[in-house]
Amino acid sequence: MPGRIFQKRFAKDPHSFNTTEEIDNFVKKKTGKKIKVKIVHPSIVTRRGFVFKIKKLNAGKRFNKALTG
Amino acid sequence: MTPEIIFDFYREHFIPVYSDFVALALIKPEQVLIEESNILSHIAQFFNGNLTQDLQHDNIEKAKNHLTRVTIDLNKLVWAEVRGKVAPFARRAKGRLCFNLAEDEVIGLYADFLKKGREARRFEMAHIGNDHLNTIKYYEAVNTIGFMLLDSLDYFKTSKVQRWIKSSGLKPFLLGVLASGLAMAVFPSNIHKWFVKLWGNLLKYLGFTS
Repeated sequence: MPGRIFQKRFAKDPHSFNTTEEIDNFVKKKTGKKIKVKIVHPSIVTRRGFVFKIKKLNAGKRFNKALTG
Repeated sequence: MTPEIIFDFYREHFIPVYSDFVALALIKPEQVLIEESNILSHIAQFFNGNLTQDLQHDNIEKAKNHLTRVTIDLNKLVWAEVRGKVAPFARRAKGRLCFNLAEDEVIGLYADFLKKGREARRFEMAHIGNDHLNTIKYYEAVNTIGFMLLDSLDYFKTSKVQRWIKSSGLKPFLLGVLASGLAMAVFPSNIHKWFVKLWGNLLKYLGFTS
């Protein structure tokens, strides 16, 4: 049954969450670590439908740079 | 199909497996974000009044396909993560002592976990485009076995066994031989004399000395 690993680790029923954001925030609060986005096991999971390379962008930084530049 | 079906599926299958993956890896897979973006695009099109009803329903079907796809992928990722955590212990005889299970049970469960993982993949490949729910259930059943193994892995024992593994093996054995040789040279005894004589005779017998 999925969710047992989470329940075992954090003693909280994952069914009580409604979104991934709630889970991310809960884990961040419990571990003190912000959940980072990463490509995991690319050989197992493909990025279906995406033909473009994904680039990390900090919109705030870019906007500030554009304002001052 | 209605969006409610998709959101039920989201809460019932996607959220629990996503939580498992985050609990194991403490990261958010990029693939999830991509699929979530695709799902939102299709749901938005479902509510687009400029589209025909057929196209709206086509979009809701596509949104569900993306959601099932990412749920299957997350199940596979959980399987891979569990395997990564369990394999170093389950594959070695000494490592199997770290589980709170009998050794034959660990061997059986780990073999089952690998075998059923392969079977789930075969099932998935044989049912591409249909029977998504059964594919997910197949993976969920495999991950239940993985959870049993992971749950019985005793982290107190793992550190003890790792120390034990370090303290055994060829290197410590050779160090022991060297230390005892040194002790015999510093504190010669009758046993030492007998041992030196034995080696001398052996070398003579083999023709290395005359």
